[in-house]
Amino acid sequence: MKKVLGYLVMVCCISVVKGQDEVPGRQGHSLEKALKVLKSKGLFKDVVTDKRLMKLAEPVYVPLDIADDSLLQRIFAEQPYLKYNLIANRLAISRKTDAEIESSRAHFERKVNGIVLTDASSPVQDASVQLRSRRYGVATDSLGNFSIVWSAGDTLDITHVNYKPVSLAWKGTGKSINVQLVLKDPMPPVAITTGYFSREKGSTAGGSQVKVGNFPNTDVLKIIHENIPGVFAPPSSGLPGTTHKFQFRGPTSLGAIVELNYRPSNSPLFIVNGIPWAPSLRPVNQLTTMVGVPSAPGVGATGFDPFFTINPLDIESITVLKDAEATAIYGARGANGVIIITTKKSTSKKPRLVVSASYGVGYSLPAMSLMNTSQYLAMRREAFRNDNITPTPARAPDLLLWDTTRYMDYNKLLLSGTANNLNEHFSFSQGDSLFQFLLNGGFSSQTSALPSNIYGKRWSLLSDFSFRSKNRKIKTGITAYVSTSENKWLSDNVMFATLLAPNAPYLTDSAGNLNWKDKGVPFRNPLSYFRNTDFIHTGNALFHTYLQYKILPKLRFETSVGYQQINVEEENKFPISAQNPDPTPTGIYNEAQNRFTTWIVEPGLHYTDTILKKVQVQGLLGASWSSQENDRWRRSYTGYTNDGLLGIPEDAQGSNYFSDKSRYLFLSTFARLKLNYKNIYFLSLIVRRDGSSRFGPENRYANFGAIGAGWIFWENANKTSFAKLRGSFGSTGNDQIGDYAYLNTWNTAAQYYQGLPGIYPTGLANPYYQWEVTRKLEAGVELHLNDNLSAIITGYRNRSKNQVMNFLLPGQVGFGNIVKNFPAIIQNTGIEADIAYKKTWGNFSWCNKLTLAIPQNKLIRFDDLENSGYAKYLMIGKPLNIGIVQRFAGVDGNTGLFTIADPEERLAINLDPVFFGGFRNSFRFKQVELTTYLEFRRQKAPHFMSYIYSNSNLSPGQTNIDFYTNQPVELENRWRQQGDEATWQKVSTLTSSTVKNAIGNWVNSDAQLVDASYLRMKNVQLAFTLPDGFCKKRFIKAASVYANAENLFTITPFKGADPELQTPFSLPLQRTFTIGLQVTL
Amino acid sequence: MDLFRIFYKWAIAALFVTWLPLITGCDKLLDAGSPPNKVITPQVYKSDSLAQAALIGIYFKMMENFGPHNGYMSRFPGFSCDELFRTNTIEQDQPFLTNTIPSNNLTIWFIWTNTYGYIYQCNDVVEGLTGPNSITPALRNQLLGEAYFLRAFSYFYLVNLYGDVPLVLTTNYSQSARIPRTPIDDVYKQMIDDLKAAQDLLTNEYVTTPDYPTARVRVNRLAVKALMARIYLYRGEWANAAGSATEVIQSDSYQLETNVQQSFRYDSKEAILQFMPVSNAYNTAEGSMFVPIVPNGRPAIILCDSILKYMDPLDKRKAWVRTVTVGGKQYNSPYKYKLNTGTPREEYNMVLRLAEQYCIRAEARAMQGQLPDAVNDLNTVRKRAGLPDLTNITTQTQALVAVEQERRMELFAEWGHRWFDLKRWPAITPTHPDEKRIDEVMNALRPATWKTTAVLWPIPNSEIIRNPSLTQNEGYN
Repeated sequence: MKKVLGYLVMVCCISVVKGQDEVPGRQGHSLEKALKVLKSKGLFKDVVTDKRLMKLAEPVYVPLDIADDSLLQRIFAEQPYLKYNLIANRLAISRKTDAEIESSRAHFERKVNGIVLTDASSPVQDASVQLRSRRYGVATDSLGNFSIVWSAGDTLDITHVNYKPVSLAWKGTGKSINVQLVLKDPMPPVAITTGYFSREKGSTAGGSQVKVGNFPNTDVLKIIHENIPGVFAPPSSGLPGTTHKFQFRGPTSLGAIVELNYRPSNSPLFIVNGIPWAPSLRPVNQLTTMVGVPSAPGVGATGFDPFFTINPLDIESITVLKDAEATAIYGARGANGVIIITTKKSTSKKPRLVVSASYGVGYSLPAMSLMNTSQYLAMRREAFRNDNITPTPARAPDLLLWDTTRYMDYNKLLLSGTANNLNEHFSFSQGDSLFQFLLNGGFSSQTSALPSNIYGKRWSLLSDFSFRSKNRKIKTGITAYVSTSENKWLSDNVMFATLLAPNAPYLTDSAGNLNWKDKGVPFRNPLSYFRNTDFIHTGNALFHTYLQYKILPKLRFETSVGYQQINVEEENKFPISAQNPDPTPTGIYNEAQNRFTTWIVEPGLHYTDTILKKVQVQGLLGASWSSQENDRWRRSYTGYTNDGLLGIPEDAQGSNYFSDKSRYLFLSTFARLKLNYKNIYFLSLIVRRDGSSRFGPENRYANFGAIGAGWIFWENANKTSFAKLRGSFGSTGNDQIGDYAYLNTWNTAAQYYQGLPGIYPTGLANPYYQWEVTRKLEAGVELHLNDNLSAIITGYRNRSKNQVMNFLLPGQVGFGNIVKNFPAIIQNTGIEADIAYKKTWGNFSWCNKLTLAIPQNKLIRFDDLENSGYAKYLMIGKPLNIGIVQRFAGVDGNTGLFTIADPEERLAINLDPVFFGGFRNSFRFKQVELTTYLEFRRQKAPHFMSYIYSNSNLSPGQTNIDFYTNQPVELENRWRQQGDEATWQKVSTLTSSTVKNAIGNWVNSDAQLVDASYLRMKNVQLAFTLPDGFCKKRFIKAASVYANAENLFTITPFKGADPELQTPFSLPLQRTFTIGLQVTL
Repeated sequence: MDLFRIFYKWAIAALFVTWLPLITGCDKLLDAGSPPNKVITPQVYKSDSLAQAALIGIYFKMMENFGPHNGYMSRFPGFSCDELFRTNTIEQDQPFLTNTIPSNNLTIWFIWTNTYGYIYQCNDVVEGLTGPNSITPALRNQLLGEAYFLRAFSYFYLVNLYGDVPLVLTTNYSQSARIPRTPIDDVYKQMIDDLKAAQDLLTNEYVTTPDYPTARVRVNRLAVKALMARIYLYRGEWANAAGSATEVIQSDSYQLETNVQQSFRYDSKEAILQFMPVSNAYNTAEGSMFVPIVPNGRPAIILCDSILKYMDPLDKRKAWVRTVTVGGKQYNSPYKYKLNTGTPREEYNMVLRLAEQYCIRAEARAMQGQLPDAVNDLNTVRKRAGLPDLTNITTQTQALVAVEQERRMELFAEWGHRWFDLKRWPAITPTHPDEKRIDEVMNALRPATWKTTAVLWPIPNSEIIRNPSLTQNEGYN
């Protein structure tokens, strides 16, 4: 072993030495000068030629000091276009015939090595280096290196989508060339983003990339949502730091039945700086907060999103990989796509400091409008009348005891505040061709419209360092991202408090104490919510380092190592002061910690070569190993008798502890081969073998593969416009089924029995389940016309089979389900379009970009669906996301109750968006730029009343313990008396089964699912770049100011709730107005 | 130059470090082990402490939340008959109060699936301890005996609520998922077998711990006999019922508390088996459900008027009824358990107690025609309640009426006794030969909604969907 190692070291030493700086080309003479010298030496007397012919001459390197007869021959042997004739001391020079040129071409080819760098001397990857006459080209590797056989007389075109093209005429000199590219005209701040693979013209894979602009954006997922076609990631609440809903080419996996609306098993794989993002889209908090129970699946499964810890200003680009070939690069876990987030890199040459700051105010968008006191009282009286009950003080304190002239608009009380958003950021970078360094730091703070100090704050620090050896054989770098955030939320959903009867008593007494009852009748005070605080502290440390080493000119070794830790600490409090003092309450204190630790090691061997002179080959042999550990616990202390002692364990009367640890390992080896013929035909092949610890020992490994092909079927002469067809087919896997599901595990009982610890089985284990497989088929057309138009249209069909799901079992086995493979097939088809257009008239330019996705999800196969527990939720041939409902037949004019047409009839209503997308426009005149972003979506969603009707405590007309009895003003259109044609059924103070069944009729009918389409002006931004002259006088390099407005207006038929959030009881989104400044020093 | 040497050394080292393991030991790289803070099945029955924890886990699961063995048996069967009522309407309880339980009712599904969950745990312990294991024999016997008892105990409630139920005796889901409903006689036979096995494995001593030196919260042999007595009584095996009850009564381990206020405390002398609450939020589920938080508040769950009406004015057991007047109206609610809160911890959930054994023996003796002995047993119970001895019991019918009266007064709002009794007794004045006492009572109480088929709750329909070999009870769809 030692010997082998020693030998290898030696070989490498030698190659390093040999590889020292290439010897520059010898100094040559021009042919004219050489001939003059020879003439003076008397080899001939006169030269007969045409001046124009001499332009075809190549420099002469043949030593001229020894003049003999062969000298002329040797000189002209190196001239590709010229030949000579020596007749009677007269040298006649003439052009070779075409046939002669062709036949001697082989002699005039040189193998050239080169490097493509930016003006700041950092390497440019994926620049296209192409011979003009032969349509043959190569792409530069990650060190900017390329190697090409250059023929005499041919021109070398070096192009890159972000840089100005460079052309080099053939020169016989030297074997090494050094090309520096200059950036194209800087794009406007909100640039028309380019499709990911358009930069690599020859790519056959499907995906998109967005370059993140320099102006602050609230969060990462919002950038993805607004820029990538086919990704649908609306927020779940207006609260800073909450999770997003996420949909990406439709669900591929059934998952557990309780997950039918949420499906964590359908999250894409997120990669941040090469490290898999352990929590994926799951909320990382464990305690219940104002946005819901984090562990419970379902639409309401919202909580804290750890992406909040990433400052969007530190992000360089976000890449979304969609099809089989693209996702295969990043692992078999890509069945649901891969989203790669890359932080900013050090590139600058001169020291550069960019400082930016912005400040904004936010106002809540309107919430569900509620009845005023007179409407409310009329509704309540009517409810008693409908029930033939005379209101008594016991049953109707709001009508008989409380002041009926009082009116409080609780929406106004809770949501009329102003939110403040502050963002500060700096970025410093410096470097030369070997060392580069970047340091970013930022702080941001957001608050809400609630009358309490609810906030989300984030501090972040990014540093990136890269080093390249002088001989360009080694490149290495390290990126460290450290951020921390602090969010103050509430632990209970305050939005329900808006339903407090509008004539409820004053909330505080003269001394400022909370009021809890009036005339002996208790109610829940909306202000009490603000004392139930919830703190979430998150730390995120992310380190990534890589090393590239060029073993041989064609062979490169690369390895990267990443480490990440996300640590979430929470505490929430239910003090006595926030509770009704009547039955002596006690305080509760909860705390929790959740830690994710990830390691990843990815070695790879890259091989680049040209075979048969025209086919460029790129090979990759790689492996990836990652480990994710999750360690979490939570503890609840109860029974505090004094708020001051809250949180001190010794003073609690009871406590409850839960902890859980899990580990997830992933190993894969893969090989990729890319072929490029003349830069016109492209082929890519990937095979991989993946193993996941989430499967039993017998079933850990599975093989996946993909093939992709591309064809540039049209191209203009200077290669700036082209049209391409591409397609791919392949398989990817899914292992998002939770850890250890194959083991019979036991949990520790949360409490002792008889002072003894207990354990209990957690579920049934199935050691035999296997990978879920998705086969993806994709085809696309791309058209690029110079820089003016780019259109990418993609169609796909993905089929997921061998579903790993929590199969439902009868309770008699002891548990309700088991993880197993089931031969259900889910199909996702769709079309995505990404069209950008740019037009310039002198100083005025207009760019626009349209993204559109039309997804279609379908359940193709599910054996014996009727007899399974899924019959209630699924239908063959329909999307997974449907509501199976009955046909609504209106409110019966006589009884005043909801009715349905035919109890046997079943309708399936699609709850997925039919289509969605965005339209971005950017107008620029000299230094001023106006950008607008419109978002649109066509969809159906539950009517906001369904959140009222499906909560039996909120049934219209009824009272409840909190006295949350007010109703939406929408109910004004209710049935009041016989013969009424009404939208809503009569109100009732009772929960009789007739009323309840009638409500059930509506809740289970198609009336409940209404049009929630919308068109929303998400963003309007006006930016002004200060003139250079102004800046120079003040010794700054550049400066710009901007103003930004978000959520300016919405056009929607959806009432009562925000069509983006859809639930009426979540904190509304904000309409924000921001001003900002960015200075480059 | 040195820098480069360092770098290529890195490169080579990285190459070997990262590639060699891939080539040699793939499986090790993917071995996530077992979850760090969890136990996996193969370990459990190799260690005394884990095996004990597995059994304690059954008690814990039963007591973890409100459920079939923690409060629900005292509540929902009471709603189904003439025992409990509500002052307000809530969705969960309403169908029980009208004996119109839809088969998709969540409570019956919850009780069914949770009880089968306990049975799974019992089966696991039985399989683990009857198969190859390395548990100390004495401990093994104790744990196995308790598991047998708890399995029988769980099946007892299942058959009395639902009728025929699948008899599942394995943890293997591929077998148990298809089992159809087993005839009730076979299920009872299995219960008796389990209890007989338990009685041989257990001793009369309670397992205690230093923290709780006197707690009777683990099954002992006498608890097994007590449940056997009840099951024999339900099966009409009078001699066996009386015999088992006698063994419990004569063991001298138990005494009726002279102060009825003491009966349901953690140190009650009449307790044969109690379950210990594990939650800090309340003492017992019953106390939490039946006793209002507000000292003079209106209770949500109240006793049907008839109970108090039939109670002798002198009966000391009036202390088990809480009477308040709210808004000019009097409300009576169960008050056997006094505490609504979690602290101080003074009450345990009473499962089996001596008074029931006297009632069992009285009934068994009466059925065998041993009227004086039967009356003696009833008098023992009455004496504690401060009531005079029964006189003028001359016929078996009179004796049985007295048994009903005594059982009703003694065992109300406890573990569904009344509902089960009414279902097994024949009508006193039958209008047709098969008429049961329950029809007599319920036809009087809820003539509009009562149907004979309501004696059984429906099989949860989701269970029928998941196991199509299950059938629904008559009268439900």
